[in-house]
Amino acid sequence: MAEPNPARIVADADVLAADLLVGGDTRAALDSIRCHSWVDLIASDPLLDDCEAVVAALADADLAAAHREKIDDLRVRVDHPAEDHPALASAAAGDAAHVLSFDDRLQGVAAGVAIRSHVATSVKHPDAFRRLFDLERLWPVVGEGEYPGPDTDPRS
Amino acid sequence: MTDSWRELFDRADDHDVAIDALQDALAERRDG
Repeated sequence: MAEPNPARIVADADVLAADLLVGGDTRAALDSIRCHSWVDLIASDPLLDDCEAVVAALADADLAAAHREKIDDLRVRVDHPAEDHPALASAAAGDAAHVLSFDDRLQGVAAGVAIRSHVATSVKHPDAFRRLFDLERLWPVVGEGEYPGPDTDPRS
Repeated sequence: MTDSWRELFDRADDHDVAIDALQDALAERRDG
């Protein structure tokens, strides 16, 4: 397994949809990706397919398509076998250190051990990620000098 | 030209969706 990159993050389809349709802490977690150009959102097409389907089912198809287009602009695209779990496989293909998910089955100690036997990643609830993900502490791993702070508008 | 995130979030304000509903919809799609 490749060493995971702490500045590469996967948000599962429910988290991407919640960013759009619920907001709150989930949107704040995704803002940490949107407002730093050196933090990458990793996502496969199957993951975006799932997100678009969920948004279309609970909101409307036009909004789902526009949202998908926006994520497509933001993401680093990866590929994986169709039968794999889209979030975990995206993390494996993109060497992402973090997966954000609401799915309890992917969280907890036992699930973490099982997942890390296949993929070097950590699955977190978006609220936990927002509390623990410290961009200033991460910066020396990816850059030089003092942490420059956010460098992009998260609403642009 | 794509919408800005601000425009998307404004459009999404028209919909009242709970996280439980998102999880259920995703589980139904993936698990059948």
